[in-house]
Amino acid sequence: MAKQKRERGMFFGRWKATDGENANPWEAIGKDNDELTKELNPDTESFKNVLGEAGLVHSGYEPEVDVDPYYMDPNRSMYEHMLECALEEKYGEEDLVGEFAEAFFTSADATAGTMTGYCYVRDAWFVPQSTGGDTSGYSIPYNIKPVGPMVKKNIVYTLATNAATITDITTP
Amino acid sequence: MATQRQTIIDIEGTDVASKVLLTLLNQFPGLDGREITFSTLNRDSGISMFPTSGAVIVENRENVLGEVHQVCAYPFDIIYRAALKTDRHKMRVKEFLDALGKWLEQQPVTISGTVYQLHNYPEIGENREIQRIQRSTPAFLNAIDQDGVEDWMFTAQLRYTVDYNKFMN
Repeated sequence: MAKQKRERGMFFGRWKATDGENANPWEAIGKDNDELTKELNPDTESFKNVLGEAGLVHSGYEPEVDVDPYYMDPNRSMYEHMLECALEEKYGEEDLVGEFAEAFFTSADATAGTMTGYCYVRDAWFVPQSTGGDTSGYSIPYNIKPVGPMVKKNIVYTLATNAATITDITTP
Repeated sequence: MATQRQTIIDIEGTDVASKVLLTLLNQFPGLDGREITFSTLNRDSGISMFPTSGAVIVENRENVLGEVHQVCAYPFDIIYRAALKTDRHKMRVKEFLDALGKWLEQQPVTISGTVYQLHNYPEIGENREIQRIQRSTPAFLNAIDQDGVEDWMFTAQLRYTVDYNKFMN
């Protein structure tokens, strides 16, 4: 079987709604990146017992995603608040915590221009790392640190608009 | 051993660029009734656009969302053929070509006392957009035949971008 194409797996992010009702649209992360990786950073410790047997203690993961570069573009849904946080150097939870979705697409519809699959959604810190950059464009690279429990959901992604629709999985 | 770089041509873009460029050239305000043809010159007269090669993909970037961004370069020559008797005539031909080149570069040009400027490049089809047209040389005398017919020319390059999505199957 051939290896899977890179675009099968995608990351999405959005800020939490401030008015308690209307959710912000999801932004497909990676428009400026030819490489984007969620580092799992496993917390493991090897040991050997008195019998000479090797063992491993796995205490979980500390995932993070480095989005660098991220060019400021007013068309992106996370743009405005990211700019505000970076310029004003905000660091509170109410400012920097949003939602993060990691998707895996299982099918595609060429006519409709959509991809369908599942994703895992959870809260995440979106932490700006710097502002400025080179002459390619005004960049605010940021680091994503997913936190808390994750929930599996359905996702439909539209290629033409980079829009994602994430819905609860309903058991029949 | 050095690896030979393969030149990749945007074949569809080449066709589109040829047509769009020819239409644009014939919109030059300084033509004064003349027509710029495509790769065709009479034995002793004419103005024509000659593509040097196809549209070469000079840059190809792909992001993790499957979106591809390419920059293509379409080089071409403009040749003005005429039997020029005096150096004043030759100067006029050179000035015509230099003005045409400046106009293609979106610089203001003065023709018969009026300033003209190409503000927007034309549409070049779905997913493609002209970035710029830039001369590689000023107008120069390229050839004289035994009858004294001269070919004056300049070379230029049309750069455009292509954006599309590699669809996942």
